[in-house]
Amino acid sequence: MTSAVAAPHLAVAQGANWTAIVLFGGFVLLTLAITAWASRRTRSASDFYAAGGGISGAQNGVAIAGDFMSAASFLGISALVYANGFDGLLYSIGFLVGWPIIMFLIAERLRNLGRYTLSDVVSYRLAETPVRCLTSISSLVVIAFYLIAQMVGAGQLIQLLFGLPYAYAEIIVGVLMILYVTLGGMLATTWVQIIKALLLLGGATLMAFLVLNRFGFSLPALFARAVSVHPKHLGILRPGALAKDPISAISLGVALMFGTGGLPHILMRFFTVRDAREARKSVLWATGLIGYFYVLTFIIGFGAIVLVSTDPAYVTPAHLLRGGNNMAAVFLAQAVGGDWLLGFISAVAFATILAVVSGLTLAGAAAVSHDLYARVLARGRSNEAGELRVSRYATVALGIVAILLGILFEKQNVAYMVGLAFAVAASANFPLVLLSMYWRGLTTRGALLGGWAGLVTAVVLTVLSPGIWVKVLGHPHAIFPYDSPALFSMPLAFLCCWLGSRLGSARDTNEAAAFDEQYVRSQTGIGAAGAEAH
Amino acid sequence: MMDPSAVAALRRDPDFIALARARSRIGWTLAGLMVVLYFGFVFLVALAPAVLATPVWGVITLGFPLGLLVIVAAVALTAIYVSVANARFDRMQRDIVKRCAPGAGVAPPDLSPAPGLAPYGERLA
Repeated sequence: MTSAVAAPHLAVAQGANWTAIVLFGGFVLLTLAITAWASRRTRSASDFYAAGGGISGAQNGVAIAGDFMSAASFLGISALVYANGFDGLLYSIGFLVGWPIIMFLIAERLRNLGRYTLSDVVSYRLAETPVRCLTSISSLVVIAFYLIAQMVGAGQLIQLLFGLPYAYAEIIVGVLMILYVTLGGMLATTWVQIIKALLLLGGATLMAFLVLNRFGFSLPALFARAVSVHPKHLGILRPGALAKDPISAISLGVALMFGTGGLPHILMRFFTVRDAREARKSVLWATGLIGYFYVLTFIIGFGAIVLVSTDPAYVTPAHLLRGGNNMAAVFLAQAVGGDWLLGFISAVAFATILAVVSGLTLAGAAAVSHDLYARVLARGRSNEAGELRVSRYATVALGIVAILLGILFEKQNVAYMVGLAFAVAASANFPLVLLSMYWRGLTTRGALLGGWAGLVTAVVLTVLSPGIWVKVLGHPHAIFPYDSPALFSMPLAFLCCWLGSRLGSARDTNEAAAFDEQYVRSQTGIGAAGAEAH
Repeated sequence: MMDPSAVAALRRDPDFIALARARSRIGWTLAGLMVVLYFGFVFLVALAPAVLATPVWGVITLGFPLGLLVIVAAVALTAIYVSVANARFDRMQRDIVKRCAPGAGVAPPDLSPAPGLAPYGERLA
């Protein structure tokens, strides 16, 4: 991602830059206006963390879909399809199948038990201080890796599209995100996400339509042409790298399927709706939209193989995509829709990063101000104004950290960062969320042992994996041979939760007794937060 | 926090037990189905890639329609859960809360129609 690569591209898209800049400027103005509106409605902690519980199921569903349709998945999956064809399908399906699991096992109970964060739910009947420390730290780790991936993606994209230096791009994203979150809280973050999700769905639909239009709406014709021009030929229609390393493929599957149920910024969205019924509705909307979107990324990826890889304006003489494979979808926009669509898709991609980063930062701020400050440090004795002040400091601090991490990790492979975020979420947060709601026998000791074991194992195994140990740290052989740790770290976390819980004590009997109250509330919603009228 | 005697009463209430059982049965069944479908696909990719490479529609191989099927199944199973929950669980839940925990203080918001709104059953329609 050096300027030497970017320069020839800029010659290609010079005329389109202004379209992108004007459209993106329009998006920023619109979202700042929404933030100003939201800031007048954001007074209480409930407003800040959960938009006062006043988001409808459909709105929340679109916002959740927006969180998932990040730049990493739009640009990343179409890039995977562009490079490998079929293998990209495993990622897109994996990102989707976590949603039914959330629906069947997590969403309703979570809504009935928590207020603002997943730590509320896990610490409901366990010793609050150590459990909240654990879950807020594991949430912050997940958020940090996810943030790095988005920030690095943002910097590379903006550098290429707008010709801005990488560091400036990081600062623009960081500053706008701090404005949205500190002033407008969850309400602004949600509406920014909704608008961007609709723009992205519209843009992707248009692109898929234009691609299919070129082939008389015949998928076999599109695929046949892709096979004939792609250097791997028929190889793009069957499992490739993933079939060569089955353990990594299965481990990745585990991380993607169960990691979704442990992502703090996603679970937080369930507290923005009125009740369990609306939570359910939001999952259905989200699943439908995300599924539709991933089908589109496939058509876009194959469209890019045919229309982008064959055009010398987009590829170098060595047949490499200018600016890297992540640009496949962006170039395709120009190929099928001209400079106007290029500008539109570029602006939407930038807006996407901004919206996702805002949601992540808000979840991180909640972990700091609600979990660590209000509940752990002040032990519930802080007042709401104090907590809100801390959450805004936390947002600014997280924004600055995100900018610095983005600059620090400029050369890093962002796919591993997202993979690590999902692996940690599946190994630390997901077992705790699930067991705390379903297993009467879970004790504080079990939760701490399992949670820390999952968190540490997931991070350590990732560092020892080929992606970091060999490619980043330059060692000749990986100590841990597989790309994703989840197949090992998640079962270990469950096992440690069970083991720790079996080493019982008198206090643990009380925790089991408290399960009854928690169970009744999770089933019926009696006593659930968020009953305030809005 | 709920009154412990109300909790104990609900835990023994046959309707509550029926609701909890029905919800947990459908939840775990559908979750199990999703896990089997997805990991069935992942195992095919990992262990039997040649099967997925069979052409079925022009050059398009079996892997693509199967993948699409997993995507459609994910959405369909989610829709099934929502329709069952809307049709049965909400009503069962409302009856239980009304009967067993009138003094619980906070009625769940979805169960207490605002003045002027049609009764709950009609709002569903």
